Amino acid sequence: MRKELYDLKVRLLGTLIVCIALFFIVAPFQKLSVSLLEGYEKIPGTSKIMEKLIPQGFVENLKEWNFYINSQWFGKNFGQLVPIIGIILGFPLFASETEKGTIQFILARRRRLWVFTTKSIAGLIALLVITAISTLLPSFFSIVIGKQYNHQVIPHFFIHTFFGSMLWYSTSVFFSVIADDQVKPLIASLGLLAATTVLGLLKPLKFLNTFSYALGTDVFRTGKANFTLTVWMATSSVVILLSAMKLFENREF
Amino acid sequence: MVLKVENLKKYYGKKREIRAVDGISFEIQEGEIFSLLGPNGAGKTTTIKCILGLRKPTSGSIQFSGQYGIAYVPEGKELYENYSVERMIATAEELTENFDAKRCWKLTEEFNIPFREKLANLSNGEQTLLYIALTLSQRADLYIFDEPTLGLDPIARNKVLERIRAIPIENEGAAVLYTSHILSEVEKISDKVAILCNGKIAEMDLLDNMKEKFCSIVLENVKLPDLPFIVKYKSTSSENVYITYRADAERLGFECKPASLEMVFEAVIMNQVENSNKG
Repeated sequence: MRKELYDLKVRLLGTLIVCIALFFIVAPFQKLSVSLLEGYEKIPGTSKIMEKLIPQGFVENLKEWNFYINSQWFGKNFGQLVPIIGIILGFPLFASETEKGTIQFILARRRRLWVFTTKSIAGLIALLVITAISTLLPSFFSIVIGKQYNHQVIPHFFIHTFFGSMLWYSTSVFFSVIADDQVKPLIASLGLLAATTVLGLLKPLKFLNTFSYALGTDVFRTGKANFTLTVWMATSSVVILLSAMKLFENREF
Repeated sequence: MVLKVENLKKYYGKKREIRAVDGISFEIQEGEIFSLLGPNGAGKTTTIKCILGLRKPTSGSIQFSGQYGIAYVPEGKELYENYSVERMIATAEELTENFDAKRCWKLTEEFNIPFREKLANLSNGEQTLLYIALTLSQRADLYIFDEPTLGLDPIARNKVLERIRAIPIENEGAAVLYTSHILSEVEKISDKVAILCNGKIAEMDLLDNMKEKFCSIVLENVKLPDLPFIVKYKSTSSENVYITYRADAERLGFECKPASLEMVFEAVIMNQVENSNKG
C-alpha cells in the first residue's frame, strides 16, 4: 500500500491544491459576485438577457451566505470537478504500469487479486481525502470568517461528491485495466463523461446525467442526500470495479 | 523437481495461426541451471511468461513445486524511473516475500550502483544490475533470467554470471531458468540446455552430452554423405565444415572435431528451419 500511496502522492496533492485554490477564488468574493450581477442588471438592454439566464430572485438569494457558498462551491465550481477528480485518480492506476512495463515487476511478486485490491483501495483513499477536505472547506471557512453556516448539510454533500466521483473513478479504473497506455483510459473516461452528460439533456435519458447527482442538487433542494441515487451510484461503482478486477485477473501481459 | 512443463502450447491470432509455443515439454531439477536457447521469436519469453502466469497457455500443463516461489528478471528490466535506488529497494522489500534487504544493499554496493540516485539518471547497465540485485535478494525456488546480461560490460557480465552460477549453492534446492543469445555465457553456467526454434524444442540435453553428441567434419568439395543430420557450418574455397551427429560421422570413418555450443546451436536451428520449410 505504501508504494501505491507514494505513486498517488503527486496527483493527490496536485488535485487538492487545485481544489483549495479554486475555493479561495470563490468563497471570499460573495459581495463582489453579487454587486457584479446587480451591476449587469442596471445596464440598459442587458436586463432582459439577465432575466433569461438567471432565475428570478437568484441575485437576492446570493446575498445569503448558505445559498451563496453551497450553490457556488458544491453546485458549480467544485461540483463540476467531482467526476473529473475520479477520472484523474483512476486512469493511470494500471495503464501506467502496463505502459512502462513495470506491471511485470509487481505481478512476478504478488497475486493479481492483491495487486488490484491494493491499487484500487489506495485510489479510493486518495479520493476520500480530496472529497472530504473539499467538502469541509465551506464549513471551516465559515467558522474562520464568522459567518452563520448550516453545517448539517456537509455530510450530505460529502455523500454526493464522494459517490459521484467514485462512479467515474471506477469507470477510469476499468479503462485503465484494459488499456496499454495512459492516453486511452483518460480519453475514454472523459469521452464517456461528455457523452452521458450530453445524452442526459434529453428527457428520456435524464438518468445518464451524473452531474445532477455530483453537484448535490437534491441536498441543495431538500437538505438531505438522495438515498436511492446514492445506492445506485455505489452499486454501479462496485459492479464496474468488480468487472475491472475480473478483466485484470484474466489479462495477459 | 522444481518445474515440469508438459506439452505447453501458446497460440495467437483469431484462428490461432501464430504458434508462439508449440507443444514443448521439459523439467528443471533442484539445483539445476537450465538454459533455454533460441533465435528471436523462438518462443523463449512466451514460455517464461506462461510459467509466471503473465500469459495463459492455450493448452498443456505447468507444474511448479516449491515453498518460496519464483524470482524473475524480465528481458526489458523496467523499474520505476521516478524512484531513487533507495526507494526502489524499499518498494521491492514491500512487494516481495522472503526479501533480504541487507543482501540487496550489499549487491548494490558490489555492483557500484549509486543508491541516492534516481533510476532515470542511471545508465541502462546500472538499471539492469539493480534489477538483478533485487532478484538475487529474493529467496526463491526458481530464478528466471531472461537475457540478464543484455547491455552489460564484460566485467559486470562476469560478476552477474558468477552470482547466477552460485544460486543453487547459496540457496539450497534452488534452480535457474536462463535465456541468452550469448552462447559463451550459456556454456559457462548451464547444466542443461534446450534449443527452441519456431516454438518447438529442437534439441535438449545436458550441456556436455549435447556437445558430445555433435561434431564437426571437414569435407572437400565432394558429394554429401547420406546422414540423418548434416548442416553446413562454414565454407572456404577448398573445403566445407559440416556439423553432424558424432556417432554417424565415426561410423562412416570421418575425422571428428569437437563442436562448440555455438556451432551446435547454429546447426540445429538451420536444420529445424530447413525441415519446416520442406514441411
